[in-house]
Amino acid sequence: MRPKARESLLFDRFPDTERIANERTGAICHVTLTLSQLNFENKKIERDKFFEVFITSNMASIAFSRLQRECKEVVTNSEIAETGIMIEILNERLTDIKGQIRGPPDTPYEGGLFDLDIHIPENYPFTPPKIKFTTKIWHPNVSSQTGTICLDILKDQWAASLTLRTVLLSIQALMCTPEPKDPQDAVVARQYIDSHTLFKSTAEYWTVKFAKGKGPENADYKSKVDKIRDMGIREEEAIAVLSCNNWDLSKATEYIFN
Amino acid sequence: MGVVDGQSSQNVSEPGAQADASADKKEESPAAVVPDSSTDDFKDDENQLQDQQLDQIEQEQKQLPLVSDKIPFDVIVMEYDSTNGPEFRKKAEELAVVYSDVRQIRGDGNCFYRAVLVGVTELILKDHEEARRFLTVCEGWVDRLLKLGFPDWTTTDFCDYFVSWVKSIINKELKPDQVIPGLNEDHHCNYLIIFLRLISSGYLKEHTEEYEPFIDNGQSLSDYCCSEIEAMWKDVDHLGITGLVSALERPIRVEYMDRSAAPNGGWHYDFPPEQAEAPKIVLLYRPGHYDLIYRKD
Repeated sequence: MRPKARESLLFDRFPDTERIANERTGAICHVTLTLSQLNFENKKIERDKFFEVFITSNMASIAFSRLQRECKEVVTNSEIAETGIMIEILNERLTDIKGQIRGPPDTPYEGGLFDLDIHIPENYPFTPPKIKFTTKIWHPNVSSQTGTICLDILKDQWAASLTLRTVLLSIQALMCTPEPKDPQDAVVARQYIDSHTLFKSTAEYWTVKFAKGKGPENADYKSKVDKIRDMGIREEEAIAVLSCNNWDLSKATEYIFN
Repeated sequence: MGVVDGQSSQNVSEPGAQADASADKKEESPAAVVPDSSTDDFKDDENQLQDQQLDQIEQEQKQLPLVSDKIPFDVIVMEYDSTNGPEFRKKAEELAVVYSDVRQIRGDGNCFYRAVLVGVTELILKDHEEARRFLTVCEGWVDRLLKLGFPDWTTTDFCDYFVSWVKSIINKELKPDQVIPGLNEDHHCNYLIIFLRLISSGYLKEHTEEYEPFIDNGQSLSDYCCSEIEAMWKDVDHLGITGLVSALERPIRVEYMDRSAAPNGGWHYDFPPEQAEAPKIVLLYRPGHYDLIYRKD
């Protein structure tokens, strides 16, 4: 069996455990057992520190080293870099990762930078990573409110052999090709199907407002947003309510005050 | 245990995944809420209750080891009496004549794969020739899976993990008396189980024409394999059993407590069918669950 990342982390910090590493019989379980049986009686502080490291890295070390490789794959792959996908590791255990997808060309998201919250569950890679947009996005398969993504590979079509790279590429592909028939956000999906031009301009407006998109701000939409804001509604809410009401100012107003 | 699996797959999906437009609006602007119809609240209550029950079942299951020690088969007999299942009691008593022991497997949706894993492991611990043969079969699967288009390095990783584990049993790097207890280590065992799931799926995919007609709802074999076989904590069905048994080239017998569940309407069934001699690995099937059982010497 190959060396395990969790173990090497432990042994680096606690050189006296190396002996046990050499004696380990191969499977992770035996290491776990031996380590927990270690006699630390005379070194209480040492023991606490030891278990802190041990317990906080409770994800199986093999999963950890795989994750390291997955992250490296995203960061170093030039093809990925060209498509505008990035990740930033937020903690040592690699359970919290920030993702970023550049809006694909020829879509209403072009020029925008969309941040994602990636959480790696304890059972990874046997359960899918939990991923949602933290940048607001107007898309039939993403909740305009919570950023939750409706994508089969993040649910029942998840396979343990998929990686962060494949997942992020799939999300980017979803931005290019929405699936309005399997929506996450019914309002957006309805608009996508019924008034596609309106959908496009709304998605573009959201890209400019929330995703640092460089396109010109739609003047008509801006003036409507300002009118709603004058009623004491936050800009973000004003945009959401107007978008949900197909930019019909009176309907939006009615919605707010009913 | 279908119910437990239901819970597992719920864990997989985002809680907000079903959020509809009205739920979105509700959070959007508290001042501008359109009151929701009470049906939604009712649905929430119902879901909550179901979630609680599933949670409870899952917690109960987690109290049990993944694989129990070998215990006398009488344990199974004692589970039934004339009030809660006279039929099962009778069948259990009959089985107790033939079978002496049982290893109970945790009902987490992996029970079939885990039971076979334990059964195969015991065979290779006992029989060196068998172990060599088994190793060759397993080693062959890396290329077979890659040829089928399984993603490269992650699939190779899963295969390597399994193969090096089998090797460490053969060359005694792993002490024989620690091998089976080791299968109770969750993460370690998950890596072994995913290999079994992948090769089951692989075998079915190698024989797509033969097996695709058995899949309902017009689903493709490939989609079926992804959502039903390769997905952890998903219960096995007849196709999955066929896939695993064929992939491992090791026959198994399943004893059915419930005759209607047996493929031939009888009490037991061999995979593949019509074995010249009785398979060494025997599983006990009770609705939704598999355990491993042992013949009397």
